Amino acid sequence: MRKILALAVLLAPAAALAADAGKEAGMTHTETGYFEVRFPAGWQKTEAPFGLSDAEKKVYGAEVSGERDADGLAPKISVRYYAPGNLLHKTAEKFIRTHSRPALGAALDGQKYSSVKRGLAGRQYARVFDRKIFDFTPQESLHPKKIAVYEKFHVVPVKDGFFVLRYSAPAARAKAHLRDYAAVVASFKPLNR
Amino acid sequence: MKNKLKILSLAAALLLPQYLLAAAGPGADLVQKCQDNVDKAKKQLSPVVAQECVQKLNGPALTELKNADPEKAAAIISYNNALVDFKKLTSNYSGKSLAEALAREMESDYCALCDLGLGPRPEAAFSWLETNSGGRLETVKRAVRTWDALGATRTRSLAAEAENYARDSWNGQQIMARYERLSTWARKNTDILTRAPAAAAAKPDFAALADTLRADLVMDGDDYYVDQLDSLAINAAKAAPAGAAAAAKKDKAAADAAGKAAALKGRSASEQKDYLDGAFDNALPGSGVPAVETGGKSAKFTPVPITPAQAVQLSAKMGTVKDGKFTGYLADEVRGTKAGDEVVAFFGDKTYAASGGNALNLKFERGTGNLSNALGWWSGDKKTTTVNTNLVDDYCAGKKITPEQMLKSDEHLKGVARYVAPNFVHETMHQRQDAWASRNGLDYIKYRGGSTGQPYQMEMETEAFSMQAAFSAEKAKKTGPAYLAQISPSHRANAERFMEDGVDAMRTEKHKLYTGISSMEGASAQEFRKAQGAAAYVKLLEDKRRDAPASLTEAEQADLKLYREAMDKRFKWYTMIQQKSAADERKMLEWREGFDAPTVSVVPLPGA
Repeated sequence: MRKILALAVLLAPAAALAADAGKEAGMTHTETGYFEVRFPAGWQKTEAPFGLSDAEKKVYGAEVSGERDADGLAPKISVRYYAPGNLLHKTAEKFIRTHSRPALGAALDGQKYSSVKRGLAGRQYARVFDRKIFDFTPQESLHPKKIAVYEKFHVVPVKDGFFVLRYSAPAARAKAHLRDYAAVVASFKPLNR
Repeated sequence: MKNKLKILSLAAALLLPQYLLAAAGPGADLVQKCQDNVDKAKKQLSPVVAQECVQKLNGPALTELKNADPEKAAAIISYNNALVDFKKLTSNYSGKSLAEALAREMESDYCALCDLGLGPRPEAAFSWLETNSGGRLETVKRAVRTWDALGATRTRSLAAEAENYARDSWNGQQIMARYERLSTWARKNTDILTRAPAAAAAKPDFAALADTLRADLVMDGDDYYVDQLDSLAINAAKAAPAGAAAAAKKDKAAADAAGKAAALKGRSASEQKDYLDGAFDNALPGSGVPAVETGGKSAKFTPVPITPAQAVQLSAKMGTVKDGKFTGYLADEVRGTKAGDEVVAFFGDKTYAASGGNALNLKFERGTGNLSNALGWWSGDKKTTTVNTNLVDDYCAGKKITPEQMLKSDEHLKGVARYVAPNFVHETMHQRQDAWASRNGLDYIKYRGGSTGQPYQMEMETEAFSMQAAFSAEKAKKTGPAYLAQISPSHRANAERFMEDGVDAMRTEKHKLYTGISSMEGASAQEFRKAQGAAAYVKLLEDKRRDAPASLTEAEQADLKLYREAMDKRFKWYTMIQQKSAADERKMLEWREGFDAPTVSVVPLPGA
């Protein structure tokens, strides 16, 4: 019961905060030809240049992160456009299925998943869901500590491909940055779609 | 000799500054842009341009550049990669992790950032960070423990220490030496508080002081002092008048958190999972861990660690290779998966067999020292794949069996193979990387720091983690959710992240585990910085050969061949690692497409 309440508390403020969230200062990110969005001021982009390029993956966008905590975990917000034929998730439905339920078919570590609801990302209809998953730190150690992580998604299907807005934060700090995520969601604007 | 080389090289560069640019076109424009970006006199040092250079200056453009002017090519590659790495580190890390990463790059003998005026002390980079870090300067200042970010409590106290610290003397220290000194200072002050707990509790600024001391008690062996501070905080909270209770509450919360963490110490993985199930989820202990009947629920079981002799027996049963055929419990466990079949094929590859690069020397050994908490490791020097026997002990403790019972049970030998197989796939990937590097002539490091081979950098770990995650994900697909209950939480989490977000999830999340290892950009910066002397010498000799071939002595001709080959190997390494990273990612993403989720089962089946 306590877990359900905790999830509800995390879910509730996003809509309420969306109205005034856009007033806060931030940094506009334009993914040329795909979307424009306003990230929280002071957050840093966390892209890595090695491996396949965005064009090779056909996934375009950016991720920003706030301060890491003592466990090395940071709140993150990403906005990405998945073009048709991309190498990560062929369809919006597949993305939603992979992230709104246990990706490997079992939630053995106490993960919790909300149902998928309708919502808005900017002026676009979106499929919205959230979840509580776990990180293990130190990773790859014999005795890792289990840390709850809260994540929220807005998936926006369009004629060609789909967009994903994603918020991820250690559960203990998740509520504090929901306002930032709500502002990003409110500022989202697809380009030429 | 070094100075003479530099002068000659500079003279040559001045005499022939434009010939490279004679080749017009986008390649030449990019080279010029990348060179300008790291020209100190032009004061650009843009991380955005640097990233463009790292991404685009490769293939024919880089080949042409390094053939024409290896010195210039080495400088452009080194410095632009250093800027990309520096930007990434300061964006993604904070606190001690950032301090360790910056120490690794800035205090190296081959610090490329230092040539750009951004080191070796981090204070040299503050003005660059103010412009280029998007508001991260204060985070960096705190992380590197610069004098001005220490706060009045510390600076007043440190000024009164025997060293009479002031800004310059403090900032003149290496980064981790500052941490060590602050740890010593915090231990001393914690001892002072502990000796007079009543006086400590009565201090109006006790909570703030305790926070400061805790922030400095982050080195090995500091846990004891953190515990002392937590005890003081609890006592202060009890003794505090109502008005001070709120201030003490924060310390008590910290003490509670420390208590929870302490409660995990010394427990086996399964005991720890039970504890965490109770502490965080109120779940029934042991859910998800299949039980083995060992004589009734109330039977008391004392875990027995595996002996070295039993570990040797286990190694032989788990995996051997004879005439290219991989057999044993691990072979059975990994065979039939994409990742596992690559392992099997590697051990059977006759082209590797000639050099012995694919021989399997599998050991189960207890990790000690810095390997005590590692799950497994590959030693390129000893050509050995090792699995930490702590994993086997965890398995046996979870099943309430002794190693002797395990070794006699086909079921449990299969269980051990299942439990350790993701690690085996990971470490075998490192053996394959070494064999690949050797076959391609990229193992140009000879006895550096006691090691021989290719430069060790994070893309190698990205590939190894992705491979093990792909293996676990495919096993889960093929055998169902029961499989997930039979591997460790970390391995489960890796497989899930891989399915959700692909190779990038491994690339971005795993570096924090390896504070001593540079990213590919950081490694490239150092490798080409190391090679600058050789590159200048090659340039000098090639210019001489072109302008006055008769004057080139036999010794110089031999040197030219030797150093040109050495430079070519570095450029080949840089190019091939970039290509390999992309090719590996594409391959594993294609595999992943086939690993679609099986039927959802949120609650594990009883006895699964």
